[in-house]
Amino acid sequence: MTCKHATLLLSESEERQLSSRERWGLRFHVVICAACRRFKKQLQFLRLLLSQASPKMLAAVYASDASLSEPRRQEIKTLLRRAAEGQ
Amino acid sequence: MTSRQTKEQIQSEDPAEWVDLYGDMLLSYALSRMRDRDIAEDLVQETFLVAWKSKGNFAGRSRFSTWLVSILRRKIADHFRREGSRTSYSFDESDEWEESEPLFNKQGKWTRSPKSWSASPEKLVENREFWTVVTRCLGDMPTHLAYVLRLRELKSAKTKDICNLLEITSSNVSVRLHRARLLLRQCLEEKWFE
Repeated sequence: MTCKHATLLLSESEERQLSSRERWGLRFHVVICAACRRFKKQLQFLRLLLSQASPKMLAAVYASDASLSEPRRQEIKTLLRRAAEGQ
Repeated sequence: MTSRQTKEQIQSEDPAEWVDLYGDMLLSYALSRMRDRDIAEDLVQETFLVAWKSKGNFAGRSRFSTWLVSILRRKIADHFRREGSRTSYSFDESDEWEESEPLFNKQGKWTRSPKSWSASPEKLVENREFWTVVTRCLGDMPTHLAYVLRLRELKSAKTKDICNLLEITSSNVSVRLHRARLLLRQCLEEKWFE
């Protein structure tokens, strides 16, 4: 098994049940490959971290940069007014 | 203006006022799901126009802002569906991995072996700088990959639901997730853990 294939299986094991052949192949590869062992750990680490992301924190990060540009604001207003007049 | 508006208030309002009231909120929602600002603004614009056309459907049972977000959410999903089919990503292993700096060599070995990360998840969860880097990394990867990763990891969506939402197969979802996880891992290693 190559590292490329091993990383695919490590990722896929979070989406589906691996076949026993895949599981054994992966287990063997991870035992002999330090890089993929590390990758496996990091994948679990990221999964844990991302699942704990607070919506508040993410909203704050995004909001620091989220305001409609002035031309766009005016454009939308114009379009809406036009739609309202055409009613 | 109260936060909960009646159906009648919405019907009689100047829709241009909605832009000042809800525009930034909608944009920040869109930007939390995509990086491209122009597209995010396009979708916000479409949302307002659809809202105007279908304001008769707003029943007044939920907040008007919630109703707007529900329209925007559909627009975002449509966008990624369109984008996915237009670019018709081939999920063929061979071209899946073509890029300027491949993560694996021809023999399938890491070109740069992952480094050891020393950090405690508990501390990172509270670290705003870290999340800024995470969102930048998500923003730097192709949007169809970042979108799937967000749904799966940040929203804990089930793979099956992602397939339905984007109208793609579960193996496509798996491949996108794998790709996205590799890219996020690499980006964080370069921008945070080093």
